[in-house]
Amino acid sequence: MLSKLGRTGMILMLSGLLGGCGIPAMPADMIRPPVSASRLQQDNTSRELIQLLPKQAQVIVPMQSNLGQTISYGDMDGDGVDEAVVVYEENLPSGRALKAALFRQQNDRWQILSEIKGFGYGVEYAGFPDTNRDGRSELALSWSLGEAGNGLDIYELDDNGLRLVKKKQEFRGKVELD
Amino acid sequence: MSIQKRLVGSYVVVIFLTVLILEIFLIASVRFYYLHNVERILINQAELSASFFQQYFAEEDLESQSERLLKGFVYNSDAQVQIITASGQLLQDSNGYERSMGSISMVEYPDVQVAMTGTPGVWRGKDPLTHEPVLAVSYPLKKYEADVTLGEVRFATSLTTTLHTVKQITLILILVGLLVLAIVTLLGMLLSWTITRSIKDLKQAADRMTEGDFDIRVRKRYQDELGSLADTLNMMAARILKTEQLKNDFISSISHELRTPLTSIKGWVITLKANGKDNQLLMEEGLDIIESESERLTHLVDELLDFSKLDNGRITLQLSPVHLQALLQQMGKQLGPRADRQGLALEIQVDEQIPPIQADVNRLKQVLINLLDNSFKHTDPGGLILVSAHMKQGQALIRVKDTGSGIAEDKLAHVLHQFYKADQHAAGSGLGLAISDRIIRLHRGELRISSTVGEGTTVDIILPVENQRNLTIS
Repeated sequence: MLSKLGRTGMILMLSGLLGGCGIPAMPADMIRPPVSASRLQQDNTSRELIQLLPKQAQVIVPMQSNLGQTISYGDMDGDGVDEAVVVYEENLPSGRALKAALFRQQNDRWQILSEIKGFGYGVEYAGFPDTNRDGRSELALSWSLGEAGNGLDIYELDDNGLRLVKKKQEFRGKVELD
Repeated sequence: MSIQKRLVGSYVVVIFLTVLILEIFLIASVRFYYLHNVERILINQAELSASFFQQYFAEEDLESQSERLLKGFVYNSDAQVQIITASGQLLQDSNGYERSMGSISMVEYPDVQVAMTGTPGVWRGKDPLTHEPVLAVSYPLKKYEADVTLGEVRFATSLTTTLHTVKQITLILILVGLLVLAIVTLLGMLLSWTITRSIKDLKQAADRMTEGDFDIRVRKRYQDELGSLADTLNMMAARILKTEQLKNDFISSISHELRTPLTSIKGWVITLKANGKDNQLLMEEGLDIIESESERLTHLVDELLDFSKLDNGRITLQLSPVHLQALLQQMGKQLGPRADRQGLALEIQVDEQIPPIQADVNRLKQVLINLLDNSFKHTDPGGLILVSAHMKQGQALIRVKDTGSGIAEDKLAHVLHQFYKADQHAAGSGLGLAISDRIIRLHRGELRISSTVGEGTTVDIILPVENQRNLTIS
């Protein structure tokens, strides 16, 4: 009784929905804070940095940051020009992924130097402390798994690029950088 | 099966199939959407917890930090979270578990079995104790940068709410489908009713007409095929009535026509019987009148027989070459005295180049006498009757033109019909022109009449010149 055309249409529709197109986003995934007035007034630098991030990326404010600042600056390579780090969340088909992006300024233009995969539910701290007191800043990223504690990663920047130097678990709210 | 049932039935079948296919597809999609998403959320949480453990907590003993780990794993999740040792013993449970109550083995769960081998495991089924539908995802907790499984984390959720929601949506979809079916059935019934209503009207009217009631008229409901069929049926009934009327008129008029000479004959016979023996003059006059009246009767009856034969196609033409010039001249001579008597001018004009035509000379003469007789009847003294013949486009054209009273436009269309008389009280059978028309058509020719009231009538006879065969009306 079913015409050939109808059957073909059904198969196409089914394969389209179950295959290529994928399942539409869940309502829970669609909740986003609206753009705040303060963000609109951010300086050109942060706007420039945020524009370099992938589309749909959601910038995250570290728990321990001054006045809810999303971007931290520090000189990692000792050239006198600050690097910047931004932690963001990306909505991938496989789920949400935490990431940190390290920016470097070259010829007055910012570019992404490295992208670092994050863990846990959020970020506790992101900044450039000088942990080994060699005069150069290191990149410290502290990921959070709620009450289970945080995980601290410390990276150094040398000629070969970004290098993980220390991995450490922390149980208290405060980040111990030493 | 009635048309209405067939129409509604096919409607319902088509829509039912459409709705059924859509419903199956939608219900399957909704079910897949919900279950797939619940599973995805659990996998994300388990994966996140397991990878964080591997990155930062793998150094410490699992058992000693399990309580703290559970707090972290439960963070952001409504699912039941369990931490299991590498050997499958339950360490921590967000639903509450005291180790003192005795150790519980989780090995029986398929997802845990898979996770113990070092790969993520997903299981959907019924809880063996509570028989609740459950979806569980187990992830191995591994050592940092090593493929050693230290334990498992297990996220489990009840599927009761999910399945209930899916069931609810399914129910709504089925109800909507049934509603669509009901609406379509109603619409189909309404639509087929508009069709069958007209058909029923037509059938009723046709039934009445079969019984002989031609006064009935079908109501035209819509401007569609059935509407035009109703028009046709009404027109047919009207024509039948009209023919019936003509027939009745004809019978009464022909009875009158037959009765008039008969009355006259009978009257004279009685008169002659009584007084004829003595009066030779009266006798002769009476016999003359009886003779002419008998001739009139014969002529009338001949006409009727002719028409009946022509109508049945039983007349065969005796074709022979006919010289129109000679024929028309002869007719002019024959009818000249009558023209003189009525004070009319009768002119004959024949083109000498006209070739002989194949025709039945007696029939052709009959037609011409008929036409001329009409002209004589309707033309006042001082008028002119012109008979002409010439070639036109390879055909012979004989024209009889008079300056008589003419025929009104509305009657002109009917003059060739049998039994029709423009004036019901005029003498004659009303068959003359109908017979003429049939004879000319039998010759494969055409009879055309044009007329203007007060100016006269023109009748054209168009005959083919090459007419070799013996022809009959088909």
